[in-house]
Amino acid sequence: MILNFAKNWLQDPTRITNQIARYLEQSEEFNEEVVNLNKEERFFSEGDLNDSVYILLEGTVELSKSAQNGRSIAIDWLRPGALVGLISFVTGEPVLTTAIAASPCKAIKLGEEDFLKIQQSKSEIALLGQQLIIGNLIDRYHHVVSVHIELESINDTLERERNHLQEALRQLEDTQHRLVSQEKMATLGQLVAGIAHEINNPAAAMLRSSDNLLDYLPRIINEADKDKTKNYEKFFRIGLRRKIRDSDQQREKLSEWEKAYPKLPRSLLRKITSMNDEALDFVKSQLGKRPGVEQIEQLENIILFYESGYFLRNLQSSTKRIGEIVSSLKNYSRQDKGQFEKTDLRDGLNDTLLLLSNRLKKVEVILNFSDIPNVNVISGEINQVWTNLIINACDAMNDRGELVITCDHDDKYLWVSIKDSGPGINPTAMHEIFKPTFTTKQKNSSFGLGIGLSISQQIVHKHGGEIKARNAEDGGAEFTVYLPL
Amino acid sequence: MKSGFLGLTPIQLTGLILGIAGLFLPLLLPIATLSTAGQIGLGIFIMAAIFWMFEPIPIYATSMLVIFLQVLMLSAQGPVYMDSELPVSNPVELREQNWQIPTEALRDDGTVLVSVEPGETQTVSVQVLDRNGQHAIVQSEELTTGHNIVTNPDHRLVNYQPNSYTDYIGTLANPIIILFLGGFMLAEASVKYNLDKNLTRYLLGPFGTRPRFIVLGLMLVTAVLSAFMSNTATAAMMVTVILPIIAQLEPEDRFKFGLALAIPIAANIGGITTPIGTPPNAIVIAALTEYGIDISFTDWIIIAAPLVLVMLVFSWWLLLTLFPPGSNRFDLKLEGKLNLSAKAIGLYVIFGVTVLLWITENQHGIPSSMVAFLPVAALVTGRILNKNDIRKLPWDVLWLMAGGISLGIGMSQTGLAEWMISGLDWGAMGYITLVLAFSIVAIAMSNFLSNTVTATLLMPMVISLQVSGVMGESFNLLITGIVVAVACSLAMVLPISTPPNAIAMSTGIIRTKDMAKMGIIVGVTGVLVILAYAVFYWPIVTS
Amino acid sequence: METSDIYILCIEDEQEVLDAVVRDLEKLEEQFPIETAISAEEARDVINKLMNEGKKIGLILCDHILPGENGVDLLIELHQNEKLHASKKVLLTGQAGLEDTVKALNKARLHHYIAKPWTKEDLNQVVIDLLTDYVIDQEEDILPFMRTLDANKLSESIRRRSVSDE
Repeated sequence: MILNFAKNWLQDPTRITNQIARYLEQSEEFNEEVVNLNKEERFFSEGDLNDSVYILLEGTVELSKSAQNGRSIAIDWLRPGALVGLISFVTGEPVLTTAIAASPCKAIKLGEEDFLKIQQSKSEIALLGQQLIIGNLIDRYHHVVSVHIELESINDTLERERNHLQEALRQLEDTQHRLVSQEKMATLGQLVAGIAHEINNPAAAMLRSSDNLLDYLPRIINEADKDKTKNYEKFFRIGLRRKIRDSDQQREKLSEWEKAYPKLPRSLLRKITSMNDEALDFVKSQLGKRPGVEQIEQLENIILFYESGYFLRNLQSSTKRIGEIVSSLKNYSRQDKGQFEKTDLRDGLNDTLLLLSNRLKKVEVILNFSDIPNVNVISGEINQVWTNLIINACDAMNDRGELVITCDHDDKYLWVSIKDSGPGINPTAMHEIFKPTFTTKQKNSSFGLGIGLSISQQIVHKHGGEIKARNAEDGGAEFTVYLPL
Repeated sequence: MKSGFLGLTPIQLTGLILGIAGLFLPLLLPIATLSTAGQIGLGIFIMAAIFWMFEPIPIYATSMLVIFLQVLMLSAQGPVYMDSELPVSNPVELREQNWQIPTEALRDDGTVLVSVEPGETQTVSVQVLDRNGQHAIVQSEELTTGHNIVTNPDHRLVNYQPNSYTDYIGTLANPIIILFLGGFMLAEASVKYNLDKNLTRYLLGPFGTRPRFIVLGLMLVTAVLSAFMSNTATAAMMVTVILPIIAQLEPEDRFKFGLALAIPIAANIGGITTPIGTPPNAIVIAALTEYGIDISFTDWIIIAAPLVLVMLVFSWWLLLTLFPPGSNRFDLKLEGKLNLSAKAIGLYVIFGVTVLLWITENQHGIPSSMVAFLPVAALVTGRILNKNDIRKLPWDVLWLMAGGISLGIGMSQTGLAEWMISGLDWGAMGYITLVLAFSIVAIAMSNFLSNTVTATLLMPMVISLQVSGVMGESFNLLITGIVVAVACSLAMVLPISTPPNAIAMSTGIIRTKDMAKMGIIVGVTGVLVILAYAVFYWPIVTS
Repeated sequence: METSDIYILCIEDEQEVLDAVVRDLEKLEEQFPIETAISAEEARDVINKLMNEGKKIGLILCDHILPGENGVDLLIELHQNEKLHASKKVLLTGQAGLEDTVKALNKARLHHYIAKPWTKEDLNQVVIDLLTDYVIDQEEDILPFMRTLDANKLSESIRRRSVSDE
C-alpha cells in the first residue's frame, strides 16, 4: 500500500517542488527566498557551516570533495527536486561536500525556522515536505548502492591489472635471466673455443714429437747396442708396453725383491718390479743370487732404457688425452653457426662426459647406447642440455654414485635419458623444476646452474622436442629428452 | 737394525750379559789379594767399563747405576756395611812372648791381622805353639797387649773403611760439576741469544777473503768457541758457516774436504783449552783434586793453551797441504744482527765477567767453581734463561761426569786401583815411556769410546800409580793427568770418535778415509807434541 | 746410505702422474722409502700395514681428487689418527679452490699444497723442507739426515740441542 502511494510522487519530484514553491509563494508566514545561481557559482563550500537548505527547482548542482592530492572529485549530481545541504543543515556539522551550480540554477533557500514550519504545518505543505525529504533520502541511498557496486568492479579491474603486470614483470625477468645466461654460455663457448685452439697447437706438436721419438729412440738405442747383447732395446720396449699390476700384487713383488736383494736401493727395485713377470725372470737370471757392482751397474743402465720406454709411453698417453680433451672442447663449443645439422647425439654425449670427467671422477657412468640414427640438431645447444642434465645429476648425488645414460629411438622419436642415483625429485617440487629459479643447489652454485633446467627445456622445445622428469622406481631422478626424427 | 731382544743389537746384548756377569764375577771367584770391598768395586768397575764400551744402556745411565751400586754395596749406610764392625780381641799374655789368641784369627800363612786404624791392618807373624779348639797359644815378638787382633781375617771390613753414601751421591755437586753447570748455562744462553753466531761473524771478519786465512780463521774461532761451549754445538754452528762456502766451490775442488775437516778438528782440539772446554778435563781435574792437587782455571789455560795453538797451526798446515784451495778467494757471507735486547745485553755482561774472572783466577784467587755460580744465579735471576731452558740443560752429561768421579772415589777407597796396577812392572817404566803409554792408550780408547768414559777409566790408574808409589820419584801425578785429558780430546780418527766428527761426516762432504787419514796424522803428531810438552814445558809451569 | 723407517706416502690415482711424482722424489728414496696408493682405500690399507710393522710416515702427498673421495677429506681423516698427527701433509692439486684449501689448512694442518704442474725442484724443495721439520721434531738422532735433507736447518737444531759433549 505504502509502496503504491509513494510511487507516483517519487517518479516526479519536480511536481512536489513546484507545489511547495507555489505554496511558499502564496503563504505569508514564510520568509523563503528564491535564489538564482549562475553556472560555477557555489551554494556552499566543503567545511562551511550551513544554516539553510535549498530546494533545487531548476538546473544541476555538482557535489564535489577535495581529495588528498588537492584535486576535487565529483561525488554526485543533484537535479531539480533535490534538497541541497540537507545533511549539514540537519546535523549542524560542517559541510561534507562543496556544492556548485553545474548549470544556471534556481532554488528556494529555506532557513531553519521556515524548514521547521513546513514540518510542523497542519496543511498540505508538511506532507509535501516529508515526501521531498524521503524522496531525497531514497535517491541518496540508491546512489550509495550504485557507488558500492562500482567500487567493487573497479577493485576487480585493478586486481586483474595488477596480476597482469606481475606476470609481465616475471616474464621480463625470465627473459633477462635467459639472455644473460645465453650470453654467458656464448662467451664461455667462444672462450673455450679460443683456449682449445691455443692448446691444440702445442698439443699437436707434442704428439708429433713423441711419435717421432718413438720412431728415433729405438734406432738410437740400436746404435748404442749394435749386437743387442745389452738388451737395451728389449727393455725400452718392455717399458713402452708396461702394464700396471694390481697395487697389492705390485707391493708384494717389491717386498719380495727387497728381501731377495737387500743391497739394491728401493727406488731401483721399484722400477724393476714394475716390469712384467717375463722381464723379471730375465733380470733375475742376469743378476744372479748376489749381484756384484758390475751387475748392478748393468742393471741401472738397463733400467734407464726401461724408464725411457715407459715415460715415453706416459708422454704419449698424456698427450693423446690432451688432444682428446681439446677436440671435445672444440666439438662441444661448436656454437659458431647455430645451424641445424644431422648429428650423432652419442658423439656429443661422449664429448660432454669427457669434459666433465673431473666432476665425474667419483661417479660410475654406465652407458646404454643403442644404435641411433642421426638427428637434426644444433649440436652446441644440445650439448648444453647434456651438460646441464649431467651436472644436475652430479649435484643431486653429491658427486658420488651411479649415472646411467641411455639412448634409443622408435619411428617418430629419439630419446636420451639421464638417470642418477640421488635422492630423486621431491614430488611437491616436481611441477616447478623447469621454472627458471628452481634450484636444489646452495647459493654459491657454479656457473648458470640455477636456471639450467629451464634453459634445457627451452633448447629442447626449440628442437621440437620434449623434456620430461620423473623419479625412477629404484630412486634417483631420470630426465628424458625426446627429439623428433 | 733396531730389532732383537729388548730392542738391543747383538753387540749391545753381548755387552749387557758380559756386564752383568762382570759385576758378579769377582764375588764368585774371590781374589785373595783383594779385600771384599775391592772385589765389589772391581765388579762395579768391570760392569761400568763394559756397559760404557758396548752401550746396552745409555752411558749416563751406566753412571747413575754406578753411583747406585756404590751407595748400596760400598757405603757405610748400605745393607752390606750397615751396622758392621770389625771383630777384634786383645791377645792375652800367658808368659813372656807367649800369647793366647782366638783360633779363627790365625791365617794360613801363620800370621794374624792387627787393626791399626779403621780401614788399615798390619800383618804380624806368629808361631803356633798349641791350639785347643777356640784358642791358640802362639809365640810372637811383635804382639803387645794393646793390639786389636782381627778375629775374622776374611771379614769384609778388613782393610776397608766404608765412606758415607753422601760421598758418592755428593759427586753431583762436586765443584767441577758446578763449574760445568755454569759453563753449560752460559753456552745455553749464548745459543739462545745467538752470541756464538755473532761472535763468529765479528771474529771471522779480519781474516779476509783468501781461502787459507779463512780456514785459519774458521779453525781459531771454532777452537775459541769450543773452549767455552760444547764442541758439538760449536761444530754444528760452524757447519752452517761452511756449507755456503762449499756451495761456491767447483764440485771437484778437493779444498772442500779440508774445509769440512777443519771444523771437527778445531772443535775437538779447542775443547782442551779450558777446564770447561770438554768433560774429560773435568774428570781429570776432579780426580787430581781428590789427591790434593788444585788446578785453577788460569793454571789449566797456561798448561793447555800453548799445546792447543801448536796443534791447531799444525792441523791448518796439514789440511792446506793435503787439500789445497782451488781458487784465490771466496766470499764469506754471514748474515745476522747483534741482539741488543736487555736480556741479551745482560748475557753479554755476565758472559764477559764470568770468563774474565775464570781466566784471572790466579790473580784474585776466587775458585772457578764459585765463579761458575755467577752465571748460574744471574742468568736465571735476570730471566735470561727460563724454566724450559733449565730443563733442556744436559743433565745427562753432568750425571755422566758425576758417575765417573764417583767410580774413581770407590776405586781408590777400596784399594782396587792399587791392586789393578800391581800386576805390571811399573818400576821398569821411565817417565817418557809412561807419558807415551798413557797418551797412546787414551787416544786409542777414546777413538772408540766417549772421551769422558776414557778419562774416567784411565784416571783411577793414574791415581793409584801415585798412591802406590811404584814409580817413585819419576812419577808426576799432575802431568800424567793432563796427558790423559789432552790425549782423550785428540782422538778423531772415526766418525764415531767425537760428536763433531759425526756432524762433519754426516754432511756427506767428506769421505771416511779422509777423516781417518787426518785423524791418524793428528793423533800421532799429538802423541809427540804431548811428549815434548811433558818433557820440556809442563815440568816448568807446574813446579 | 742407511734407509730409515720413515716413509713417504704418495696417493694419486693417475698412473702417469704417480710415475712422475715417484721419479721426482727418487733421490730421497735412498733414505725415505716411498709407498704409493692409487685410492683412498688403498692408502688406508698401506698406512695400516706400515703402522703394524712399526714404521713411521713422515710425509703424505695426496692428490686433490681421488676416485670416490676428496683428497682434502682424506687428509682430514688421516689427521685424526694420532699416529699420523706428526706426519707432514701435502696436497697436490690442479685446482686450488680456496674453500677446500682453507678447510685442509684448518682441519688437517695441511702443511703445503703443490699446484700442478709442478717442477722437480719445487717438489723436492717442499718435501725436503717438511721432512726436515719432521725429523727435527720426531727423531732423536738427526745426523743421518744431514746428507739428504736441509743440512743448515738440521745443524742449527743440533746446535740448539747440544749444550755439551758426552
